[in-house]
Amino acid sequence: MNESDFEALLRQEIVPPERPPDRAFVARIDSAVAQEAWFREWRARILRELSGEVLGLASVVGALAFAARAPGVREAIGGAPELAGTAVLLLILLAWLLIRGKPDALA
Amino acid sequence: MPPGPDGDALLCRRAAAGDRAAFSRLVEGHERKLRAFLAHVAGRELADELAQEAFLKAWQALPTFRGDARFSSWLCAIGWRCFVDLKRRERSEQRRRDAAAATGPEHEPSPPGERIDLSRALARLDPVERAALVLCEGHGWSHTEAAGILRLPLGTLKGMVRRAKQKCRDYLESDGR
Repeated sequence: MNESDFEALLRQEIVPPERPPDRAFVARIDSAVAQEAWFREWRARILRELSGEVLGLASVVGALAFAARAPGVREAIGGAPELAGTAVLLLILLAWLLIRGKPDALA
Repeated sequence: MPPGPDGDALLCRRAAAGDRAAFSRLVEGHERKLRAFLAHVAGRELADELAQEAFLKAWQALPTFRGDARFSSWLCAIGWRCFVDLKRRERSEQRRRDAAAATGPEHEPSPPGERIDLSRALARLDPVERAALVLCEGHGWSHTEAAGILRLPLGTLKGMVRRAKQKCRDYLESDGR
């Protein structure tokens, strides 16, 4: 087999044949891309919500902790620790619900 | 009609900004060659799966694509790396199961004659040699571009193409024995 015959045979084997775009394959890729985009958006939204809630709760707890150090408040807590504990937990619950934007849950 | 390099650059910018229709145009323009390349490298059964993985990775990485290479060569390089990663995973699994090493991609039965011998000759090549030969002799990439796609030194790539062609030729001349 001479060189040009071999080259011709090789090209016949490995040159991609001309054809129109494979619409089914393009649609398959588009679907995969759409799924990936949806997942990325969902993950970002979850992380944003979680971060917001964590920050909000941390702020409320921190504020209550500071408030508990005030002399008048400290005395009141010392007199009725159970009531104080209940009040604190209810305040945290209220703050969490407000942060999450579900005031109807209080009804 | 697939977009030319200038059209690709515009579509890449739009797709990088999240335009899925622009990315679909890129897929339309490049799926033929990518799938053909992966079919020769990995076999027809795996080609579409690898091509899908490559396109998905390209979509995710488009914001980082600087455009210093053609989109087609960048995409081909991603496809090649998907294949390399797949082979690495398969080798790990094979070691674990004590299976025999793979000898090359399965090729669909071809009509009798010289075509079947060349297909077998290609299957006997090392995957990197086969990829180098297909890119340079089949897809028209320059040696420099193909070396970039396969992440090989230019001299190594040129040697591989030469050796691959010689091996195929020797196989054909030995009547496939």
